[in-house]
Amino acid sequence: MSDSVETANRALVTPGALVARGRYKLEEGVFREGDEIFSSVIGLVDLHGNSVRVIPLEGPYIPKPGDRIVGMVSEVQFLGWMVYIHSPTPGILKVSEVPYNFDVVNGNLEDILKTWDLIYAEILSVNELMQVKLTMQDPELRKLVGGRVFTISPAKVPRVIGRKGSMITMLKRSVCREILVGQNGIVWARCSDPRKEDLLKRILGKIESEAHTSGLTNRIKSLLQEETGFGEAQATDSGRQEAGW
Amino acid sequence: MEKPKQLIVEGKRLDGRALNELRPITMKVGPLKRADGSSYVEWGRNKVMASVYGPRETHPRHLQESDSAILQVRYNMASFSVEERKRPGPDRRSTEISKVTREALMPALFLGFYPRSSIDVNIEVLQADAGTRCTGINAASLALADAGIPMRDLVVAVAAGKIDGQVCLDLEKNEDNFGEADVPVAVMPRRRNITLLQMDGDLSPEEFSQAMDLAMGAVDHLYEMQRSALMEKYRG
Repeated sequence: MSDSVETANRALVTPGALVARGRYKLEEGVFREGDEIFSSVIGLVDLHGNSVRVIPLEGPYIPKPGDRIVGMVSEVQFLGWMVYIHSPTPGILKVSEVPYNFDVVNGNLEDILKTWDLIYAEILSVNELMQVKLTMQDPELRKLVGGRVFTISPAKVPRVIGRKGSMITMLKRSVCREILVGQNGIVWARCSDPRKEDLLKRILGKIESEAHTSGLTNRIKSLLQEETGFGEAQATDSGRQEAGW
Repeated sequence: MEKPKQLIVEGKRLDGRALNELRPITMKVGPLKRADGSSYVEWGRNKVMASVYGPRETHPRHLQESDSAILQVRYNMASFSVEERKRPGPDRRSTEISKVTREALMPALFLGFYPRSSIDVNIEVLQADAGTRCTGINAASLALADAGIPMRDLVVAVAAGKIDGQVCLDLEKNEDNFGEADVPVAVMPRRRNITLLQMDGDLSPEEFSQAMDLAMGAVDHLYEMQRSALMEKYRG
């Protein structure tokens, strides 16, 4: 049978919907039965080149090596920490993966990280048992002090980041500079003014509820314009000061 | 409630339906904000709310499967869901329905994607009027899809039965209580795979295949309802 596409690109499909037939390369959100390719989640069909996938609109965070995530230390263990990373299984951060010297004999792990501490870390590896190893061996990875945490659906993270980072760059310029978006749907932000954090929370809520629509970045831009005067002053530091912040 | 003299009068049932007619059904996806996925289904006078949590860490730990997620289903009837107050808590009937519902949903899920975790489905019957296990399976299927859990297909459930010697679709309370048989069926519609089949009462082999035909005939309509309920959430 020849290759064929059974749905329009960007069509909304439900689990079990026929997406395509033939020799396509399968990515996320689809599965094959014989010659036919079906969607396994509710999402938007994305066909590019010879690949087919369904971009999920809902769903859990599944750790992948290389993902940068925001996590919370849930338990201090013998030579490492258990970290809550908003996924089905917790992450494990070994003491050898933190960028501090640690005296194994006399040292106290709690001097480095305590329960409830927030960290920005990278997924080092995930094995077939979904045991997740984390690392903090990178200058950008660190313990997060202060700030506020927002949780969004992990499926909506790409929209918060935007194409080539357009959305997150805009938010950093107009709301506050210190925003970290974890691939696991946990967003950390530390702003000089709590009102900015409230604004960020509203914007994240809007992005989350309108993630499946197009032209989102422009709508967020005009919202920011109303709230902060962003865009008119081209987001210079002086522009932010003029806006009252 | 006294037994009515007849359940079928001039070819119509007591509530005015034809023999092969479903009760009015409404499906809503995502009413609960705290749950990962949820749905609310009204099926005639049945009112059922379903929620899905997970995949999340399995507790207690000894239930974990090292190569797949586990599915835990809890079917519960509210004490105010029936005419006489139901004693709250699990009982023989709800334990059985939880079990068969779990087995009706499991073939549709890719549980192997989430080793060591659990997916928890809660089905809460707020008002019961016969056919709550079918309503519950439909609600659970919607809630699972809403939670973004990968599925081979949605699961559709409907009952057929026999009243006054005639095979008919989707029994309501009087028909269930005073009828002769009730056959709930759950199906994955794409391949017509049957995931639940029970029979309460007696049917001859001919009547049974008649009942199956009636139930299977309603599957496509219900499948379409489920799909449009899911899409409705995003069409706004």
